[in-house]
Amino acid sequence: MPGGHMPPLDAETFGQLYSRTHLILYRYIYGMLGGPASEVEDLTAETYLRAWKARHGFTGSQEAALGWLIHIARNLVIDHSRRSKVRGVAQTIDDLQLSSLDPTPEAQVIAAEQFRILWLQLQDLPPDQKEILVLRYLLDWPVKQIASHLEVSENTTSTRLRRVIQRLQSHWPDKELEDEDGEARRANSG
Amino acid sequence: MEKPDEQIPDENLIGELLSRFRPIPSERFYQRMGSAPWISGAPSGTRVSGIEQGEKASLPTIVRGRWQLPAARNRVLRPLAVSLGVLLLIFAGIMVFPSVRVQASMMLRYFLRLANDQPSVMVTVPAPGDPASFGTPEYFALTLDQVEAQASFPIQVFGELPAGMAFTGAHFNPAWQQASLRYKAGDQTLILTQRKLGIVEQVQTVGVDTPVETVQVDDRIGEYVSGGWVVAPGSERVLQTATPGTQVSLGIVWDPALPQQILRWQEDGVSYEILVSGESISRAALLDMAASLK
Repeated sequence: MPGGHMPPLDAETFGQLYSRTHLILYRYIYGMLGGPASEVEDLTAETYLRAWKARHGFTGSQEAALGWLIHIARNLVIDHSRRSKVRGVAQTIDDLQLSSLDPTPEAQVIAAEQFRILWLQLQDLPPDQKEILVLRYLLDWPVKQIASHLEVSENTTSTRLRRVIQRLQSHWPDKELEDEDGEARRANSG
Repeated sequence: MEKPDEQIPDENLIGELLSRFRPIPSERFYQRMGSAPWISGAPSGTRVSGIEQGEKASLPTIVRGRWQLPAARNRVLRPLAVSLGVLLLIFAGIMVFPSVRVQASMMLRYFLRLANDQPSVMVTVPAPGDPASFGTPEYFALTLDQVEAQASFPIQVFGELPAGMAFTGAHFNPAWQQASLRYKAGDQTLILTQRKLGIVEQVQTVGVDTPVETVQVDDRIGEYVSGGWVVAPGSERVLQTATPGTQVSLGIVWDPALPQQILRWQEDGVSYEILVSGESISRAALLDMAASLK
């Protein structure tokens, strides 16, 4: 998105902002919340409605407008997750679809399983750590843009990113143990 | 016990797996956002009379009457909308398969008129695990920023949209330098394609007697067609019974009554095409939209 200064957020300008950013916001919220898609859609809609109500207080560039929307979304996701924990709402996982680049069905199955594990791991991360992965990989933001959004240096951003990935790797489940767990569960349920 | 390294994805694989997850909102989301206050706040000098709570959103009625879609008409169109995926599959096939071009009788400015109204085309039957095909929402999984980052020419967007219509995603073909932007409003789909000239030639075919109208898009000359290709009677079974992943020959027929419009023109080294399915956008409104690109 070009970083030019935006005109006042009237309906037309806000509509253009929505058009340009709603897929980005949707994916950000999806990554931060983990699903299900219906709740992600609700929070995406709520983000824009809150931004619309607060639009007169916003003055800044188009890039700043996206950052502003992401801050609103982040707060909504955190509030929503707190309420879900209090209510004891079970986390559900959508049937997550990966864009298919793998040449064989076997490779697709392996990639899908790796993604499932990764997605569950992602949801166990604290919001700050989760956010940096979401910005980097789900939104394709370069480190420089993430650093600017988080108001930290690029070095700090790179270090944090590396640490989060190391954490994911160190918590990666052992396949053999997982298989044994699965067999034990099947034996107990049978 | 230490985990074997081969089980643990490295940084590149973690990044790749996450980067390949491109969720897109459902139709329910776009229907809901079709009645958002900034849309009903009358962009482009239009005003929405509103969608009633719980109503399956079609295009909202515009007070000034430019994009009206009565509910009864919408019910008639729904079966057509369901088959849009197949139609777009044919559409894409017709644009690129050279076998069709042999049957051409006349090259117009931006369209190719075929020698008969019932040709056959080769299409690949979609298979599970295929990359999303043209016509499916998953095909249009990129944001505008992602498309702009890859394109070697400025990507244009509409300055004026019918109320309720919103951008839902984009696709980019880097080899062709071709961007396709998808917009939706209820059952109505609009695809804006822009391609840098001089890389590949891509033609759009029409039936033998199809009127191709010369129109003015801003200060450029374009061509406008109403209607489209549909699967010929009896040929549906070919698609239903063919093995996924194989190519089949499909009989098609030009239907002048199909609620579809195509507008093509060129400007500043870029080819533009707007494909609209559904009846609620008039020819004049389509030209206004084209002129509003910026």
